[in-house]
Amino acid sequence: MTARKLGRRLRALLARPALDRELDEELAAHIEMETAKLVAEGLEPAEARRRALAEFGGLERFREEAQDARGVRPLEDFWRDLRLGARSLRRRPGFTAVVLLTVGVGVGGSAAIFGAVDGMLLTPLPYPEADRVLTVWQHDPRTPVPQEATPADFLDWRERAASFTRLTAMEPFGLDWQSAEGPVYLPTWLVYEGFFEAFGTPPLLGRTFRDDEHASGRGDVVVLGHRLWQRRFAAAPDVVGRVLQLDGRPHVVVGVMPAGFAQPSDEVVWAPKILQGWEPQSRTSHFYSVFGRLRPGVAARQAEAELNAIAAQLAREHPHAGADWPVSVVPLPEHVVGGARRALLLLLGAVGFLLAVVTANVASLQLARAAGREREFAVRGALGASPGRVMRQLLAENLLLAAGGAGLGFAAARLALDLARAWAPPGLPRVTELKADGDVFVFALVVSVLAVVATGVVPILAARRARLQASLAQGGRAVTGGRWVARGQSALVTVQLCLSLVLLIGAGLLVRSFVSVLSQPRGFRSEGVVAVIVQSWGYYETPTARTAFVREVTERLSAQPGIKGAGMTSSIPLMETIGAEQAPVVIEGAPPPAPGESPPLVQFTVATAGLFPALGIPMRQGRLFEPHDEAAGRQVAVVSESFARRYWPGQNPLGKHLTFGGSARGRQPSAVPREVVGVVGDVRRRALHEAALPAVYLPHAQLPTGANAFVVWGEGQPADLLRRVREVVWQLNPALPIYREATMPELVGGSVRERRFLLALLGGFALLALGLAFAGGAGVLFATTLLASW
Amino acid sequence: MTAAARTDRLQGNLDLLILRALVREPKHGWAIAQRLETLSHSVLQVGQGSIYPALRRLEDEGWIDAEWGISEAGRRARFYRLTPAGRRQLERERALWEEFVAAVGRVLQQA
Repeated sequence: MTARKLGRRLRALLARPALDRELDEELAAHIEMETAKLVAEGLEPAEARRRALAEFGGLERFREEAQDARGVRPLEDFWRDLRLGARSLRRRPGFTAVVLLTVGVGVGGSAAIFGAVDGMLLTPLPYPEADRVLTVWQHDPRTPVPQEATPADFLDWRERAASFTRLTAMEPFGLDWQSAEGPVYLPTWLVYEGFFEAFGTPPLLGRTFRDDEHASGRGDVVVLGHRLWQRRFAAAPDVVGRVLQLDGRPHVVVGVMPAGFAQPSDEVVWAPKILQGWEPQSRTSHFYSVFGRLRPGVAARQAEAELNAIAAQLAREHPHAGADWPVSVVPLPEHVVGGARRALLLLLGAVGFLLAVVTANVASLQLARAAGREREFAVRGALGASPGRVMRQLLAENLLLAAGGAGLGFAAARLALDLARAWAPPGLPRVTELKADGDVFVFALVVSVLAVVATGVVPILAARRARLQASLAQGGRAVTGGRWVARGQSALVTVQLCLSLVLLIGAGLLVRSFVSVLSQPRGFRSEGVVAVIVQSWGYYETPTARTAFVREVTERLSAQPGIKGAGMTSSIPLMETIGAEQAPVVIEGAPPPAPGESPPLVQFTVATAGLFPALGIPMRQGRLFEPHDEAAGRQVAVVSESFARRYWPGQNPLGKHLTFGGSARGRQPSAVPREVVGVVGDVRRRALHEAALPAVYLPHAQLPTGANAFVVWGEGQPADLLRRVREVVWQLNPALPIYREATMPELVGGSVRERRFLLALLGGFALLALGLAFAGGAGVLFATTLLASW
Repeated sequence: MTAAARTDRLQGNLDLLILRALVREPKHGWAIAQRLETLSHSVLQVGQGSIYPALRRLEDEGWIDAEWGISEAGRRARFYRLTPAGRRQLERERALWEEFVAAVGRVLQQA
């Protein structure tokens, strides 16, 4: 379009009154000139004028046509089409409502899932170039779970690896805070130099650690996580510089991290790591979470190869069990959301089906409507409306419907995402990204327009070509649209039913797996059982003191009315561990490990005798722990059924001996032979759908750990039971903070929460799709028998 | 022939004739109408006013330009003239029309 044309069009749009006046003047001039000519031919002026007007033809009509021909008509037309469309839709409230609802539902569901996928998978992490930050893991070939790194290995990697600008690590810890409201346990992570810099996120308030603070005596400073700052300090802007009594010593708060910085979570505290004397030699304790930012130009693969090469060097320099474990790297984004990715993509697929059903449904409705309007279009065509004109008006109508559907859908998606954010299970990564933002809106609009406009326009095109003359000739109201409409509709209904069935089958499969998981024998009781966990290390320095503390608490609890069982353990089923968990063990009578291979790693748990009845773990053979199993006496152990089956198949396990590998941290069992005195039932410890691993139980008196989870089985409300346990603990030591508390039903429910959520969503989609399919089928029947209303 | 097609054909003719009428010199609307009456009796059957929509359309296409001026009688009038693009269009249309006439002629002769 030339500039002049554009100028003219703009003028026509904006200066309409002026142009109209010009036209009027021009037409008036024409009439006058014609009149003058006729007068010159001898007519009376009045007569001449009348003749001139007659000669001119319809003044109004031509004036309008001239105005029309200005080239901006399309815009004005469109606006009028929209208004007409709105009126036409209002006249058919049933159709309009059903389409809006259907589209709203479909678009809402899909936009919500899209929002989740977009926020969690597609939106980049709030760290600059997050995919250049790698997490580093060591792999025990015997288990599929990647292991954290050992201190010595990390230190050597840091010294030798060239692929990273910064290689840093964090270590799980915990600090007891004597706050104004009482003792509070703060999950803490000790971080090496360069930790915050590796992620590239500056602090929100204050600063992060200086290098000199990683030395003994200078390290009593902390940085707060964002959510912790909000929850415990009411987001006070003056928190920097405040002094907290942590682990009995004053610590200064030097900074607060911004929202979104969640390594590993935003509800923790970070403190500077100070290297302990034994760590540079420790190559068998895996507890360092290692992060590194790649040097520019280096690929993740190269870094991984380099680390493996260094590991091989180290294996030659320091041969030990596990020296040959391969090293792997995982980019940060994958590490953060990896687990949720599969579920999200599954949901995305399901939503696609739902959308297809919704589209087919809307198409069916549109078909029915189009069939009913054939006569209307035929009449309009005969009156002179061009096919393009009719098409445009239809388009406008459909766009209105699409916009309405998109609006409804977006509102629904927004609600759904807000709810998801509020009810998200803890540990779900990137929950703050679950929001309905511009991306979601665009998605809703596009999907809605495609669904409504595509399905609305096609039947009209087909209809017009076939039926224009025939409809007019028929007259009356006999407009069923003929065979093609009916066939189209039944095809659509069939498609919808098929798609919904697929969804239903998918949901059904998930139900089956879900049910099978829940119905497996867990090995422990959940009803009426609660657990309260403390970390008594710092409060009872000697093993004797810790043993006495635990014994006292369990005895007092057992003596209370309404309590049917009380015990202590170092790890609770379905909860992440709070104490050391695995150690290599030499098993009497079992074939020794092949040369170069290390002895098997076995799960061990410290427990008191009362634990087994409290948790409902049945005794199969022999005996449980008894008071004479003391620190100085014969060292004993109780094993699980699967342990006995695995290592002593067909033999009597009682009387056999186990020896654990040496302790590296002082918290693992010492290397003395222990006699098996009893066998108990298996417990699904890690997850309900995972088979029970062979386990060994050691009496607390012989391995007095400070990781104490008091398990109580009793009557009454769980909250009540928890309170009573807390009271007994605080009777003995009022300054001991409660690390965590939970009820077994909560833990069981929590372990299947994700599956249940997924199931609910999929099931919901399937039912919705099926409902729509049926409604669609019913609507078609309804429409074809009661044509007048359509 | 449906009403729509007939109007199209007439419009085509009208546009062509208007361009033809402006070949020599610019004219205002009334003068164009007078010239058209001479050239073809039927084209303005609907009424003289029918040239005004056509004029606007041709103007929008860029084939004619308009300017206000003074008529012979001293009256203010809007004058139209052919643009170079309009001249080219005229040539194209003329060629098409002559082809059409020739084709029809052949058909009629054979019949």
